Amino acid sequence: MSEIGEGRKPKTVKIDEGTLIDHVSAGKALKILKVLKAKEGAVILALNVPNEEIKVKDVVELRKRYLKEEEKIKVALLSPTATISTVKNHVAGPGEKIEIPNHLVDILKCPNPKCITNKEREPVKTSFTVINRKPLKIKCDYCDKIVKEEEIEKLL
Amino acid sequence: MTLKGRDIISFFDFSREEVEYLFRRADELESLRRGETLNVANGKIVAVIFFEPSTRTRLSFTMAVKRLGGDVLDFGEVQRTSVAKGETLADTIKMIDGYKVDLIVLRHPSEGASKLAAEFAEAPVINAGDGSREHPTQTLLDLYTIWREFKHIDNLNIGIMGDLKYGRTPSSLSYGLSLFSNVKIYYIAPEILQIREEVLEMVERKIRYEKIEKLQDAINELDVLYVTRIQKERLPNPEEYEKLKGLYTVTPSSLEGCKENLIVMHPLPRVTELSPEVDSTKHARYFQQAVNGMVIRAALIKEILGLEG
Ligand SMILES: [Zn+2]
Repeated sequence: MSEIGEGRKPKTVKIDEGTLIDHVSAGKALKILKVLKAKEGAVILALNVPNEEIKVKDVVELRKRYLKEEEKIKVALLSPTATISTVKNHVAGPGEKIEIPNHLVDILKCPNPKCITNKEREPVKTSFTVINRKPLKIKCDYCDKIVKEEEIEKLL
Repeated sequence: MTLKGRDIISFFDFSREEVEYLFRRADELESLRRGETLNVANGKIVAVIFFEPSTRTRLSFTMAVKRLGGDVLDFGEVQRTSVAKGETLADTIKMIDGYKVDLIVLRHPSEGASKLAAEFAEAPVINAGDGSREHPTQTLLDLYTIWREFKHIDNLNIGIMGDLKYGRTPSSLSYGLSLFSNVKIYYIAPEILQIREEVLEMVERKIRYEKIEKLQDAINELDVLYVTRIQKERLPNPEEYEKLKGLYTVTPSSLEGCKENLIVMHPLPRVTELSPEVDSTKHARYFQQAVNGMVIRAALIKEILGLEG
């Protein structure tokens, strides 16, 4: 867990209660909403906002919504620069940058159609191990299929 | 060193020390080669569950268990039984495991099936093939055949010839050889069937290799020549197949200039890539390979079950 940039000082936001996802790589906000299955009307978006650290960023505010650990990991997989903070009375708490764990269990599907984790009704959770961080490369613990950073998005 | 109770899912589960330990234990089972049956596995029951046909592997495991004096619970043609009724692998495994078998040998078309089985079974599981990946006892028997001949694998020059791109053996053998030091592999194949980059990426820091098109260019260097089949359906057209078939057929004359103690291996069954005239040369080892498979499997089963004697 680490903090970057403006996440350190209190930031005023539009939503009263909920979650602020800041420093999202430009263009990823809509994908994040889709993956989090965020409900329309409970979302405030700012797209292509100029930013010192990552040039331009997207910002996502989720009203009355708090992210589970696996949802935070999904956000980090979509945008490694994203910071997540809890909002109370229009004030966002410290931004938390999510570290992608070494093992990703039940986070994303395996792209290999022959993989046992894709077999219908089989009681098995997908499981990947990080084998490289920059660029991100993960390996299916069942079939050994290697998935590259750019392929992860469509598997969430 | 103990392998007692271990699941054998991938060849990478073994260390070099464990592999060599198994080779020595297999050499102690010399009497199995004379057709003797040991009584070390009396009362032990091994479930052999094959979800896809592979007669040779199944026979080899069955013989290994029987030669140790154990019993086999053969699940039969699974396609015709429970799977047709839509049973999950997890359920099949739980059911078999409920009988308190001592070991499960599994072959299944889905990749990673044996890892799943191992999670549900109390009994140890040996992967006898899942999907297109290597299966560990095949690699073990190939390496054992080489080791048995030279009593070491370090420093050997190994030629692997045929369909290196789509064949299962060339990649798994490469991974297996990468456990040892100073091995050089000659990949002998036409450009279109050459070994895949992802295989080279995994082994290149551990072995030396050279890709060549003609056996003649390396025959005098080789300690082992591993021949594999070129499959017609892998090639763009029948003319190409006919041309390559001829170029990649091993005969006694293509072995001219080879080292005295070169051994020729082949996973069998063969078609035309290895002429029967090679059988009577001192180099042929492919029929021993099959026997070695039974013996090394027996050694492995004996270790997993923790059997004495
Ligand atoms: Zn997989």
